[in-house]
Amino acid sequence: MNEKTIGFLAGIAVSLVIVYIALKKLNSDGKATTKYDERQKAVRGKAYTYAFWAVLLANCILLALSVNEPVIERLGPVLFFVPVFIGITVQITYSIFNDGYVGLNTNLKKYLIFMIFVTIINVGVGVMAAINGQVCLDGRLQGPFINILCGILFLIVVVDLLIKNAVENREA
Amino acid sequence: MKNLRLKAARAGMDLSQDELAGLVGVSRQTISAIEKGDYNPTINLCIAICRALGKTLDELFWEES
Repeated sequence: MNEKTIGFLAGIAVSLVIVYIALKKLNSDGKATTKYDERQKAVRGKAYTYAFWAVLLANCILLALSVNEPVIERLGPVLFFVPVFIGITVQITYSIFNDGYVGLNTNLKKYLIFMIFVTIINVGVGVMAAINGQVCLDGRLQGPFINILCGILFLIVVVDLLIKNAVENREA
Repeated sequence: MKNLRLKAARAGMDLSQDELAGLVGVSRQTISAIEKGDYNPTINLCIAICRALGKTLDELFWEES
């Protein structure tokens, strides 16, 4: 194992610890697991199904694009993240708009603040890397571009939740 | 099909959807979906709702043909 791999694995381990602590703080009962009722579980199951097909479709499109264009080469390490990004976006958006995302024990206000914070951090890291010319080297996207994509993903969560909240308030 | 009997029973006990949801351990949206007829609850949830509202399964969920 070289230094880069060790650093990458350490980053994942630290991220998991942060997510665990964040969940404990964001859930109103202080537990790390988010609770869902039976209808929400059914909605989430359907959302995962749509996300699965979205990931397959995204992979097929990437494969098709790579036949004539060196897309795969240009995407670099971002290649692995693009289908995941699309899948997670589909899963999250379907869950939110069908009331299957916010758990029974989730403190929505705290969750939104946390998401905005994470969005700012990721976009900030991405923008700093872009300023230093580390996002794209020799026509190939680099790791820091994933931070920008993560920032966009968290922003989608925030926007989806705010839209859903506004729709519910109007209906009430 | 809308479940107006559930809505009436809930209103009869002066409970909001949120309060009933809290009593049976589900989200407010789930109670709303059941009342609108958008979601068919499992028998366990039906029983929990009946217990919370002091009604029988027949009174709240049995459809007369």
